[in-house]
Amino acid sequence: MLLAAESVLMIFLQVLAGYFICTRKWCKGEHSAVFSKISFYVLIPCLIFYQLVNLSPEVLKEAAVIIPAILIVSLVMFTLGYLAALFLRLPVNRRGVFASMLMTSNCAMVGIPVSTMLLGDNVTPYAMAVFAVQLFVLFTVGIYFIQKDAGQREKTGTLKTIRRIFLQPPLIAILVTVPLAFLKLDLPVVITDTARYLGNCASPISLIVAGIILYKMGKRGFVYEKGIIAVIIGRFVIAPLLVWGLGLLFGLPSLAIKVSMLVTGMPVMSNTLVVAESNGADSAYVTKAMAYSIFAMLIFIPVYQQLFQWI
Amino acid sequence: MSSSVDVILRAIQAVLVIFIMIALGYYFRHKKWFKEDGTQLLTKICTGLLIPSMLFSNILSTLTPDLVKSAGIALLVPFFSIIIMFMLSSLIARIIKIPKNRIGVFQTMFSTSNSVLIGFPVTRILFGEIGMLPAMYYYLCNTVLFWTVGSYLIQRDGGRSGSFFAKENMKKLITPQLGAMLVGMLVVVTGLALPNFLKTSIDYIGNTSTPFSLFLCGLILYRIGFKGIRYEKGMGWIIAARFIIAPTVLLLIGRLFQLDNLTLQVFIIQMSMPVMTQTYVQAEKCGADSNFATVCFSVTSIASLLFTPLYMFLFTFM
Repeated sequence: MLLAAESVLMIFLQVLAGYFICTRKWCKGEHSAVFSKISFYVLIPCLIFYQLVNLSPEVLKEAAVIIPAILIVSLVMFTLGYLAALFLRLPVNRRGVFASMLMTSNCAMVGIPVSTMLLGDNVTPYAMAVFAVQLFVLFTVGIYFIQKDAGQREKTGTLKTIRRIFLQPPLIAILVTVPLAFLKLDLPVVITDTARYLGNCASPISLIVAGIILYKMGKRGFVYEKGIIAVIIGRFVIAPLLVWGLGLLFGLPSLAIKVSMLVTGMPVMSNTLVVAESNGADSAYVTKAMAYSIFAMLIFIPVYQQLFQWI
Repeated sequence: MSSSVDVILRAIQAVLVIFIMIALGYYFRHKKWFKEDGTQLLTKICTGLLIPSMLFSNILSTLTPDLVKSAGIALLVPFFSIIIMFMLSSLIARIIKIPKNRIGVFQTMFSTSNSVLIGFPVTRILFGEIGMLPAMYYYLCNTVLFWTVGSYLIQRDGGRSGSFFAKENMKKLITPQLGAMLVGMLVVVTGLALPNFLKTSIDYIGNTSTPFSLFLCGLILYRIGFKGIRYEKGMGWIIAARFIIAPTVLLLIGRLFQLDNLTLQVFIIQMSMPVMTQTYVQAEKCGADSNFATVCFSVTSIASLLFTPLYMFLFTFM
């Protein structure tokens, strides 16, 4: 319980920092776009690079066994999410972000620290594998539909679509880094250091962006909106259960299943917010759902802890 | 010998890291992600939130009550060095006949350096967290002398005779940075244990200060531009002062006070940073020659990227 509370407070404080710079009039609501752009084009790619590049091929291979299961779960969650969006009659401009929020969880900021604190340091490669898969689906499937939300999809040719999907900086970072990790190259310090300094900013800046957006929304920020409860149930109940079922079916090691459940059963991924904001989709909706899901984590982490004693 | 080659290679890479981040800031402004108001925005966020967080979390992780007691001598060295630089600058300004409306600007650039926006990130990248405490001592002396002696001299350029301790300038001394350092020291001295979530959150936010300060430098360089750079009277002396005279003065005084090598090295790096950005802000406000100040900022920024690896190389012989 203490652990959950600490993670929630940590996130809360950093969001508050974003809110604070707005109340001091240092920053205006419109500036959330600058920070999310920097995050999307520079900080997140650097984070991915330096988290993945030092993993050894053995670790990558071992962790890779969970990739198919996580990939299937993510895609199932997305499909369910999209169907639910249609069923709930969500506005057209929210369907993509809604389904994306159901598909991916906050690995970098919450998932990895919480899973190492609960299960030990040796789970990081598994958590990273989940993270990599989730980034991959967010920056392929997710971004396709999020841009569609924003009405950027009128003129689609197959080639253009493929280019748009693959020319996302975070995805390029994954595609470049994994082969590099396998090659075990000794990279110059200038590259790893730059990536580390910039990558370390990714999570705090995402949360500061959330704070700026919350300020921009004002009191409306915490008004409940249709679909948020579905996001929470999807994130904290359905996704981990799917991972559990599929993990047993695939005969994955027990530790791998636990990590994957924990990491997928986390609040909404903060990168979703950055993607929505920098592509002009309904980022206010994402911020709200993110805020609610962060508080929901307080209830669910103790539940997971209890559950893990039985598995 | 191979060890000094290693050192210089590492130093060059560290400087490249700094250069890349400054270039990124320049690029963000060029692509118009940051608009006109970007400099102001980042200045406030960096000096109001990010840098104070970094200083606070650094003090908590590196300062011990013993170190607080030994701060006295460590503070005296940069203080005396900067005072000596001010005296030398007055002499040289008279010898080479610097025009009246830029004597104060000249003297201030000659004697003080950009210890926050460039100095802190550079120190952190070159020396790691352990180098930050001496950097803060230097910062304290530098900022106190800038807002007293420096501002007084710049005001005189504009034809106004202020005083050393003008109220307006004294207010400038009370910054969030100073506040963060004092609160951090208080926490260390009283042995207060902060809750983990608070410390970690401040660490996270503080970590963003290094790239974002350097982005801000890129933004400032974009605004000043490189087109207007041409040789102005006294510029050669500013470069000599920042990169040769200042480090030498500091080295001599530091040896006199028998400072340890790490503290001395950090002081030398801090002392050889580009001129302060506040110089031209202050010059503009007082009607002094602000153009001279901006040109010197661009030139010394670039020069410091070249000199820093050289110092790191020379340090291997200390």
